[in-house]
Amino acid sequence: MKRRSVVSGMMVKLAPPVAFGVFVVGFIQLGLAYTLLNFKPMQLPPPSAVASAFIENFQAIARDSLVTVGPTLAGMIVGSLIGYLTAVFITRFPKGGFGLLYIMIAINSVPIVALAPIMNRWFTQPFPAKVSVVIIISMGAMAVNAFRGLSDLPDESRHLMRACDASNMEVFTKLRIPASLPYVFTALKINVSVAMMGTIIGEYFNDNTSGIGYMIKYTLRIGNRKAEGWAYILAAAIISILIYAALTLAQRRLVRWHASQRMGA
Amino acid sequence: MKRIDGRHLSLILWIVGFFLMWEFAAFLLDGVLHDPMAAKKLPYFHAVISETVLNADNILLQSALTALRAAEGFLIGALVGFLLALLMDLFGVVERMALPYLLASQMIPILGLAPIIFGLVKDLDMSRVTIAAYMTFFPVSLSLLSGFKSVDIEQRMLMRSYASSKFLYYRKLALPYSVPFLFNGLKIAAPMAMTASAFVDTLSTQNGIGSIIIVALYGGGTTGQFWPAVLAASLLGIVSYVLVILAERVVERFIPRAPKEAAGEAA
Amino acid sequence: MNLSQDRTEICLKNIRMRFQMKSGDPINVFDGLDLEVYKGEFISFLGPSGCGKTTLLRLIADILQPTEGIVTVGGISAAEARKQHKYGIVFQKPVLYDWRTVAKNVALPMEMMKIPKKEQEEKVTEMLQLVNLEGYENSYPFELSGGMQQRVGIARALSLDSEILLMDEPFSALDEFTKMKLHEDLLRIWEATGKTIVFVTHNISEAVYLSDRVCVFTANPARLAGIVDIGLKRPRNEDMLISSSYLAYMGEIRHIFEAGYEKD
Repeated sequence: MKRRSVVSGMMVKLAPPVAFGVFVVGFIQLGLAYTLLNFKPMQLPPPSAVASAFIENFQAIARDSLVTVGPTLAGMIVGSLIGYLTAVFITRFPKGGFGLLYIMIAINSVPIVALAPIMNRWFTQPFPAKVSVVIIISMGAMAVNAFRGLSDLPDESRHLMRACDASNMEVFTKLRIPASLPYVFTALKINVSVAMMGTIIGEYFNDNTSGIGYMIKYTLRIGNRKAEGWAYILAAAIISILIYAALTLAQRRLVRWHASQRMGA
Repeated sequence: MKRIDGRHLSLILWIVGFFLMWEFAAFLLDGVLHDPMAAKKLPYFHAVISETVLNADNILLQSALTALRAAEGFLIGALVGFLLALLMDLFGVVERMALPYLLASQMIPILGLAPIIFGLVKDLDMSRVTIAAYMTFFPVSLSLLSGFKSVDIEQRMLMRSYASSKFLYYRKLALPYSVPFLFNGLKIAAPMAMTASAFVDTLSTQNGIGSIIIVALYGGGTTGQFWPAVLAASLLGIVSYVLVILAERVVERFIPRAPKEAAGEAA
Repeated sequence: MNLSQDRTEICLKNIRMRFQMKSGDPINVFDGLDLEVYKGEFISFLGPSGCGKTTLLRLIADILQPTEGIVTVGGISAAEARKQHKYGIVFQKPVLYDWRTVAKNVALPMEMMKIPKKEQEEKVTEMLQLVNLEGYENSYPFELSGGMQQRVGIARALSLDSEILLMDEPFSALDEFTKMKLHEDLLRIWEATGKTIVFVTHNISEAVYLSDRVCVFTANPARLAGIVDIGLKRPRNEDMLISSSYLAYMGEIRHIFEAGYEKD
């Protein structure tokens, strides 16, 4: 009896999103989108065509994905590290460092479109050009979030440190850095899709001939390969979701003490 | 008051320092390393400024064009995001239907879709507005929904005890409470809308600040305008962010929120 | 050296505090307050919010410094005493670090003192026994009830074997039943260790039940209105809560408050 109610409970939960998904896919697949919105199948390929393009070109997609994942991860890690160290600096020297936080926010607001061509000029190789774009666009979110985590502490927490006669170093290692961990994960999660976007836009501007971004641009230009372009976008989304999931798992292990890990859902 | 002045001073010093470092790096590249590409890689800051002044008319015109389309898309996206968040909060079915897709589509490199959308609608302005709206809509919708969700349970019960209508519940409690959440979403969205609009510019070479960048990059007649355009595009992003902050300050006057716990009474 | 100096653990002399408010005139509290806390006594600071009782505790802890006056703890300055770990402190909230297990939270001050790991572990076991939390070493704070969390806070404050225990409304967020249990435990620990306890509270009955002396503070302006010696015999037990002498002490303290407000 209980088992059945669990199953039916899951049905109730899953039914609406599945129904909605089936509706949208069917809407496009059956050609309704074309008649209603006046799109041509060539522009918006039906989902079945995207799926078969994904399967048919799986090897090529996997190869190009690797080209894109490398700079995405490298840039995200280095950029987040720089952002975190900046936050530590600002926390330690709040008076002088305050303006630096705003510089970080400003840099974060610089459009990728402006960054990618500059980096292309600086580096002749596509890899460092892409990495440096991602570094720059992932610094800001980390600096802002980490600063919040390092500095927004209850008074009593700091009083306790003072009562223990803690040194500045100890306040960081025992209190501020652990307290900032949940915020670090928030920033990393924000950075996943941002970094992926940075690499792809970087590839639009690069002279290279591989990578998800290049292939999207390339296949869209050619009339009969549009479904392949969509398949590459699908691949990018899948990669982002995988990185995001890995971060969620890591967060569960590392900060299972934090309130965010105990909410239902 | 004195402390605020100190913070302003720190900001000004960092900005000045940033441009001095730029000037110094350009000097290293040009005067010390004698890089033949120095003027392309990193021109002197003062050179960029004088180039900007020379081309001020065009740069301003194209920036305004890009910014206006971004603003249109931003407003549409914010409105749609607002309505969707409201619908999701009102009807559990809508939330269960839309939220998984909303979360998943955050992972789609939306800018990567830009060429496709441009191919679909064929109109440059429409594409700019659509992509900007699309990019605005996600963060606004998700932030606002999390605001609605975090309304204190006892506050809700209070409204319930008054037999409040749904409309009054949102007007008196949920909306004012969620204003900071809404602005968090808008702050993320504004520079993204600018990026989107400028990126669509690059897909064609007709107009917009992004088109100047792309034309100059591939050796068009406007090579000298590359750096001024990059500077202008960056400023657009920053200014859009600042504008949202200013808007938030204005709204805060009418809907004040409790100041954060005073920090640093005894370090 | 006279006898009274020998008995004094904490000495506050001619204390004045000036708080600069964001708007308006500065607020002056404790117009030259003098107070001595004796070795091994259980003393309470009792009063409504805004009477300065927590401020006074923070002065002793050297978390705040007085605008005027001298605070000595164990014969040395408050700052020096803090650096020598002369006191342990318990706050109203448990103030546990979420990311540390119970054992690691209790060990925190010992880590700061660079006490050897082995010794730390032994001490943690001993302390958790003292506060009736054996078996919870590897739990995280969020897995414990409010009362248990506060016990961890007390164990942490006791872990350095400091002579003094400062407690800032430690039980005010707990329910009545948990509070009663913790009162018994605290008195047991106090009798077993002979520590000097400074206990801040706004609960008259709690202050009378636990203390040797109750310092009564009134607000507006914040000042020490009187000190009441509690003559109830030790060890205290719950039967005393309905004794006539207990009620008489409650009445005496109420009178001091009422007199304080009539003056306004």
